[in-house]
Amino acid sequence: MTSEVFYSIDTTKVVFEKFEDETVLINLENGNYYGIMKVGKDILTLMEQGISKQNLVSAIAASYSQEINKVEDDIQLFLSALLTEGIIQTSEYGSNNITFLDNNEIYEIPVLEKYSDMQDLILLDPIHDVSAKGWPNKNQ
Amino acid sequence: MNTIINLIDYFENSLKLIQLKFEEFSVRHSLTFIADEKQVNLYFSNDILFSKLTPAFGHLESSLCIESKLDVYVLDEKCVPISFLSPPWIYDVSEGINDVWINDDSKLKILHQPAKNTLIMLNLLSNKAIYWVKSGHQIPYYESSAPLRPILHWWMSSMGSQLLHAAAVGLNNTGILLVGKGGSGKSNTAISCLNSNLYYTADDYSLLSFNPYPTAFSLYATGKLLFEDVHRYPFLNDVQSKEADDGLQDEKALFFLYPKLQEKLLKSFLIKAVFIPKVTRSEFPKITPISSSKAYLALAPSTIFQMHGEKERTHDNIVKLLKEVPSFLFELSEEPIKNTDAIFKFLTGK
Repeated sequence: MTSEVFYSIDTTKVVFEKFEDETVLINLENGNYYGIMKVGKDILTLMEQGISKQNLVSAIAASYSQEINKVEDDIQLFLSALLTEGIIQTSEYGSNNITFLDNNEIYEIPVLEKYSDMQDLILLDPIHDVSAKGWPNKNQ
Repeated sequence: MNTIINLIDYFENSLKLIQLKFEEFSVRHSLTFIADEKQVNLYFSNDILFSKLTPAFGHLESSLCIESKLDVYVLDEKCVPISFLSPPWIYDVSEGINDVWINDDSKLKILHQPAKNTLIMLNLLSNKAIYWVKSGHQIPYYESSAPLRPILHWWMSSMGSQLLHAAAVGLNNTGILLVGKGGSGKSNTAISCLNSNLYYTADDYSLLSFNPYPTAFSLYATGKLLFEDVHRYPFLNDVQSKEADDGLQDEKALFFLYPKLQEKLLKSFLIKAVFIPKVTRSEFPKITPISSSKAYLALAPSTIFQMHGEKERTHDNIVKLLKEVPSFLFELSEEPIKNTDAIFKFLTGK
């Protein structure tokens, strides 16, 4: 029997803010940053407490008055992109409550807008954040 | 394993050694400046370091003594060789790239860039800092435009101020921040204000404080322009400037605006708005509201990744700023005077 997988934003390496029209995120490890609007923004909101894919699909389908099979593939692709970019993480823990979002907007495929123009700065000065436990014996 | 406590001992021992050497050499190169009601005392081991790193702060020089203060000792190996400082961690100068170590959790901030031959340390328990370079001659021209940035970023951050990658211009008590990537028109717009009814606070790095309203403070009285743009600003002809070092000819011309243009420098103002400039070929500039999220994307990544450490705090401060002041897209005219007129009208309503 496989345990249920929950998705949540990986706040160990990502800072993010929900503005009215768009959620913005910065991956502090690789310098990429992102803007996510509309359905994608709602998906991130639903993830804040950790949510299973099944509950995520149900919540988005209900919130946008769509059939589950109409949104499932879009959400799977979106989750894969978020995982690839290191924005979200999976765990065995999360909430089983389904939150339905109150909106009157038309469903659109969730889109991750990616910006990579900070890469030069990261390559110029690769920064190693060191924990308080030890400092700074370089990994050999 | 090196512990934080050991490293603070290391810092204090290094500082004692440096202070002894400064006394031995009767070092008299120093400058005190005040920014955002915080005092910074700079002590230099020689005149080369002094001449490279102090002109940017000339407009803030002060003989006042206030409670919040930081002492920074700036030296090169003629004063204390790195072998005497002997960093107690493993590093490799042969990698050919910089290798920066930051610990946001500790009271001791260290930025060691072996390939750049720099060792920068700040002890937030004693408000003392050390800025070591192999030679004053190695300091690149762009360092003179925004000197001691890591130390000032860390210390100002610990004191509640935030260094931003933003230009700042204003009039009387209010003004705007100009944010965006290099090439977006920040510097050119800010420098244009030196020849207008407006005043200049910064072209690249501004200090932000919430007092309690968002307020911009000047830190560096410098300006940078692409060489091909310099001829468009004839009023800079008499201003002290420095060309890029050999091998950096694709970089920018650097201008020290103090003392020649001191009457055009504005030390602080309340932030009325954040502008995102955009270079266009339009005859007239256009200012239109834009969402805070777009301003965040224009300001936060470049600020976060140009500073060393304190990333979460920087994010929080930028979000707070953008939730308190409106943001606008500023489509620039090809004629600088029309752009400064547009800012003037925005600030005065006239």
